[in-house]
Amino acid sequence: MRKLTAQQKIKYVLVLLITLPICILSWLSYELQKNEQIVQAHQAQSLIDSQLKRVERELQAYFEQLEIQLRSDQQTLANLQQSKLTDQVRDYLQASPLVQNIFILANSGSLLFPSNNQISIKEENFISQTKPIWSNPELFQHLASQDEAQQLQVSTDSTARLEVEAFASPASQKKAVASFAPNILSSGWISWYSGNHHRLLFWVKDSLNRVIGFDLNRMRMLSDLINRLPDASQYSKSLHQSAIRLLNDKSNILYQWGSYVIKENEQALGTRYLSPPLANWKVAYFGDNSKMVNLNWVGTLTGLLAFMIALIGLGVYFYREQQREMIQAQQRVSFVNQVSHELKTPLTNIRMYAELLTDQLYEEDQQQSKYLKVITGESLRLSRLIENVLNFSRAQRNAIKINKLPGIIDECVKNTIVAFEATLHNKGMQFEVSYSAEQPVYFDKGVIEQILNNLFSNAEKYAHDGKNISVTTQLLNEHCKITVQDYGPGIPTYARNRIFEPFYRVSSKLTDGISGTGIGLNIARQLARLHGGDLTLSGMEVGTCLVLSINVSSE
Amino acid sequence: MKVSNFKQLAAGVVSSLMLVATIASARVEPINLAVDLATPVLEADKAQKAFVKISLTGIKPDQATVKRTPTNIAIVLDKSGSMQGNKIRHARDAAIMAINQLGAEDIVSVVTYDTTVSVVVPATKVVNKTNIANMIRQIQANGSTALFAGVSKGADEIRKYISANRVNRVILLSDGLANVGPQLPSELGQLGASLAKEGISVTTIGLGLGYNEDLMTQLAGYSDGNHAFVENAQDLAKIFHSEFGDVLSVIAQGVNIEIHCASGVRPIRILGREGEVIGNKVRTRLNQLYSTQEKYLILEVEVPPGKAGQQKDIASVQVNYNNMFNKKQEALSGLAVASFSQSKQQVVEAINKDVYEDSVEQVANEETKKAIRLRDEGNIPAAKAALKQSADYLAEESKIVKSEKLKKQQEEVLGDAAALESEADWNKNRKLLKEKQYKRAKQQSY
Repeated sequence: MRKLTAQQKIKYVLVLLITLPICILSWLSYELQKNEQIVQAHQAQSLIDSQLKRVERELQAYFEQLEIQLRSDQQTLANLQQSKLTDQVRDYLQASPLVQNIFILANSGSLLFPSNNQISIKEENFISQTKPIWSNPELFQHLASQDEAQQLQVSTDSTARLEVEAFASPASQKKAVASFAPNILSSGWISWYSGNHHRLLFWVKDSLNRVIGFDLNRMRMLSDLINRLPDASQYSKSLHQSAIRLLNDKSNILYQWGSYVIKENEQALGTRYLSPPLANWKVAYFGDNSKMVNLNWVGTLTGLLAFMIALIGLGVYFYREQQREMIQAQQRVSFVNQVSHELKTPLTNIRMYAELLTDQLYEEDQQQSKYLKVITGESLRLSRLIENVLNFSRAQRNAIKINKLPGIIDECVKNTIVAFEATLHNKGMQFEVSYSAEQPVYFDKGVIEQILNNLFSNAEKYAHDGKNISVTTQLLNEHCKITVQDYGPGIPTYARNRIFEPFYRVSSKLTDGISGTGIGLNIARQLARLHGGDLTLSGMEVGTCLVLSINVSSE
Repeated sequence: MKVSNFKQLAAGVVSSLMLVATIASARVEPINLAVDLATPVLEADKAQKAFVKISLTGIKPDQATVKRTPTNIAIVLDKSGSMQGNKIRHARDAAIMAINQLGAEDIVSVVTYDTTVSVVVPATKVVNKTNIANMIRQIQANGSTALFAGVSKGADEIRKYISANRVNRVILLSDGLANVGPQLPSELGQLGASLAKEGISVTTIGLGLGYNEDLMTQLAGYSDGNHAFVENAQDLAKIFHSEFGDVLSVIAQGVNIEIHCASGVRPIRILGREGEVIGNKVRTRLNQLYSTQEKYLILEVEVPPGKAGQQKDIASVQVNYNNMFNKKQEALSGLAVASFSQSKQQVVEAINKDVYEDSVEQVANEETKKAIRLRDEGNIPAAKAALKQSADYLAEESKIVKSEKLKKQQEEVLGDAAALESEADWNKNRKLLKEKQYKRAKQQSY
């Protein structure tokens, strides 16, 4: 797998930082929305139910009033004298907008009206159509005791079959009526079919067991029902964007109100079958319930979008800031590189000439010799620093090549120590060395010196209180181990893992005022790793102990 | 003694005053009833058919002293999609124009229907005409045709102020087929019949060629309203004008007519109007009578053989109505008497020409109804034959009474027979025929 550059990592992290909260937020809002939708749907459904129930109640109220009216009509008709009955009933029918036919049955079951002599065509038709009803006295008894709907298949002779449904009137009205019409025994509805049409007949039975059947003008009944329902303008005030339909037993639209425009074949949001005597009719509610929910979605989506844009904006801002800093850092590094390169040659010249001068000085020129030593020492220190910087930038470019040559580790260590002795001596410090790597092995002398320079330089800078620096060398098969131990204040635990990071410096009183770049240990570890080994911090009780191990085989 | 004498005197004065009052009220009697036989002299020793004309004529009231009957009108406008454009514009204008004819005593409401029904102007006294007109101007056309519900709501607006002392009328305008709610002519007829019982009549105006003329004539017929076919929307104003003229001239309402045929005389049919025949009794009803206009019905009866020289009561007629001037229920009665003769010439000479003409006219009119039915069944030859036969009948009868009127009708029927032929124009011709047949049967004034 390709290793990701820091830049790419940052990019991915930023994208993750942006997408993750958005995903979570949208998921949350989706869930919230879903719940809301369920709640709303539930509320809408119960609203629809209540609307439809109200319609049903309204229609029911019509029949309740109608029953009271017809029972009172029955009272009038029942009190008529036999001789005047026929004429009076006909007068009643001529004046009644709602009742179009009547039959009156004597307690014997024979017809009192229309009587057989002098009967109009209309009356004759009615009587023959309803024969299965009036010739079946059970229809008017059976239901008197129970308030349940009954469907009866009444067959007369063997030819005519008539579908008849009979319903008793609700008990509540019976009570109400009982007080005002005490001689009524029972009453009820019979729903029947003539031709293709659903018709209603209301019957009342009095205490003399006479039955009066009122045949309703079904168109007038429908017209009255329609008039009980709101018109389009009224309805739009109470509930907009919806419509209600009244449908008959064949699902034909009888009436519709509400401002909503129903599309063809649109499904109703709610349907309710009416109670008897209109048991086969229903009311259906139509509307666009998605509209309200959609609006909420729009709100949420805008919110999410705004949040997303804000996050992305923030991400882009941070990315650009970081990018800018990276470029600046790179510019600084390259500038330092250039400068270091340029410094290298004059520095080497200064050191060379200072050494030449030292060689040519007489014994007695103590003072001058001292000055020259300082110049040499300082130029050495500067060289190390520059080497560090260059190595660091090379390491960044992976441009360091290990060039192994045969040699003796101990001599290399000795040479490095010599270069430090003067400066250490000035600070009152000294080396304790234990050599045991005298065999010739393969290693890169420059690299090892560079590493040791870094380690000694650290000890010199931070551990001068400890006075001693212990250095041990060891050869183990193909590995060489060099331990550098000082007796300074050591490294606090929290910083132990970080001291190898570039530009990390343990911030403490100790480091305050001490110059340093913070890349020394990093360079040293990188070089050690390039050399097939590692540089590690070893656990110890006092000071700092760094262990360098390198591969010293010929490959 | 003196006291009792005084009492007698007082009683006499009071009774004479009452007599004067009854005479005065008799003077405002607005209706003339005439019961006549087309053939007052019948052939002896032969069972035969005879026509009885029961005629009610409104007498023109004295405009200065008599206030016209206040109205209660619901204008029910179709505003379905097909009304868009010119039609709805003319309908609005016609309605506004018509309402401008009304006064502060009148009540008007405006109901529109498409898929749903809207009460645009709830029943209100015609005080603020500008306001009403503004509400009407906002009507726009769209949607389907819920005609039944429209009429229902219109009637319901009427009911808010319904009174025997007002002319209660729904004026329905439609240009399309009822497609929401009940849509059969018989179903609308049933509604019309029910409204008539309350004293509400429905005038139907069919606009263009898309409406169902059977439905519209049945609705009007059962409720005793008028019917008109308007081919072009710009003629709507004229029709509304005529209709309002009719409405404003109502002088009597709730006219119940009961005819008792004498024993042995059998009623066969009522021509043109709906009625109920029970044994030898016939009942029918007119919702209203207009001033200076004759409304009549022809009853066809079968008379048993009579002896020459015998006089026989054929039918007695009782009419009850609500006098719109004094707001009282009043009654009229009449009797049709026939005599029998052996001489055919005597029979012909005795013919009552007017009554005879009207009877023939109505019989022929019934034939037109039959012809339309046959044409609907696709049987054009039979339909034409029926009209041809009707024309022959008219020609023959017109000779007997030397009637120009019947001759004209004969020519008209021949023209109608030709109109049956064309397939392309049948839709329009049928509407024209229906309208004509309806107007003739009901003696519509316009």
